[in-house]
Amino acid sequence: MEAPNVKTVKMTKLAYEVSATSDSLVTRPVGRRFLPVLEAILRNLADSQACVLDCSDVRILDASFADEVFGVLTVSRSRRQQRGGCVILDRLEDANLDNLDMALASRTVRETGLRNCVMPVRTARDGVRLVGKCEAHVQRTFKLLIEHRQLTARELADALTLDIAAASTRLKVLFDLGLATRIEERDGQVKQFVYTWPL
Amino acid sequence: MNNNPVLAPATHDGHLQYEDLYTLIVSLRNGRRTQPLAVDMSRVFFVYVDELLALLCIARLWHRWTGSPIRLQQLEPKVHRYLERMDLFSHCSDWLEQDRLLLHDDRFSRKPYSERLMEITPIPSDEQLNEGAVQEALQRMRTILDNSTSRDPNSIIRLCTMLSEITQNVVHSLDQGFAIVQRYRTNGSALVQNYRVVISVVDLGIGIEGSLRHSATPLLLHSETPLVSGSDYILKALEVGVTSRASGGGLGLHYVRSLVQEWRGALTIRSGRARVQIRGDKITRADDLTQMPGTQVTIEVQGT
Repeated sequence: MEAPNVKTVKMTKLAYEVSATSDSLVTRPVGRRFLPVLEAILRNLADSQACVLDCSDVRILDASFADEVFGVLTVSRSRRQQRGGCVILDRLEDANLDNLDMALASRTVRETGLRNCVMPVRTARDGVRLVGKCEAHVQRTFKLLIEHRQLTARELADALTLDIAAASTRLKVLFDLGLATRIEERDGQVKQFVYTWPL
Repeated sequence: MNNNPVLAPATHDGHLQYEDLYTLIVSLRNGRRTQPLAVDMSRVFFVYVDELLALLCIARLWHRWTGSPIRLQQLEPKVHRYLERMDLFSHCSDWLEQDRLLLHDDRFSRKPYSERLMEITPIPSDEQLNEGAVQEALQRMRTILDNSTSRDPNSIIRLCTMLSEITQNVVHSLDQGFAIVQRYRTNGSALVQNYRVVISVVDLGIGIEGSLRHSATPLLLHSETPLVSGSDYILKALEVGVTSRASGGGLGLHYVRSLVQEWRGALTIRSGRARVQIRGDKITRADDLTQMPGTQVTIEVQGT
């Protein structure tokens, strides 16, 4: 039973709209057609929701396709040009994950000033991890979020001995990069965000 | 006008020495011929996939220069059957002739989707048409790999990705490309059959140096190490991110290199006057070859 804050979509079903072979996600043109289809789903996600892309039927996902879809998506988030919800890739074969990793990591080489280009993935073997390249603090904060399932700025500040502003910034970075969801809580006059890992 | 046939050079074990053939034909270019250029293939007993594509390129270039085709003569029967089976003559009908046609009974039987090879397949440089050709080539590749002993999905994905990436690179060449895949059986036990997969893709376009100059990022233009020779450009093209602007691109050769090195296979790239071969950690460079337009990429990996 799907959690209410998680929307699961089969990657091949989305690809069916843009590619003659929906299980073979290759080439830049196909990637360029695929991205708007994905973005349409992400635009309708609330801050508290995540989209899980089920890739179990995907046979091949080449680096060019991955770059045009997830490379472009993650760069736009990293540069805060776009905000569009947490996207998690699920059940990709290892070799396809390597293609995705190469596409994302290479963006930090190709694009000046880009420090983070990552996506969360889930596999049966490794559980949840980040693919691509990111700064050490992003990796560390993400790891803590996975362990605790949810974090506030105060909790992160205590865990990492940070001041609350720094902790708040770190969590917001996760959210902006699409690595976390969040809900707003009010405690009387005080408003705070609770950042969560949705799976 | 000298219309004597040119003897195709071959190694001691009968492989076509296409670099020498090409050099020979370039030297004949100035004494232009209006009749087909006859090439005596009597010393050639085996044609490998990259040699086959090189032969296609040589014929295509000769036709570009002179307007007349190359005629292959004295083809050894097995070689003739192989060239016919790989569709060399059907794709090169304007540039390549054969001195005699094979009888139907002499031909290799063929399946529409062979489990061992993908015949010469045109790869367009137009991006939309290229997409369709890449997809079709991948279907063929999957048929070949699905029928090998090993069905490790990750190996299949990696090989398919290599083919996908280098056939997409034809878009940057601004010329029609051609691709071939063949799976060769190698020595193995009764239980485990080893195989070698060879992928070769060629075009006669602007070449690697031309492509880098056309699409290079400032990183290349302001490189600390100046690019001097053709092999410098080839090696630069194998680095990630060199051929990309913000719009992307430039992952293919880097990906192929990483994988070939990981699998201890071989990668050969021929472009301009240069050739770079990477086998494991060893890199061999040549910069004194006869100038040839375009690029040929050949990948060889072993599998079980």
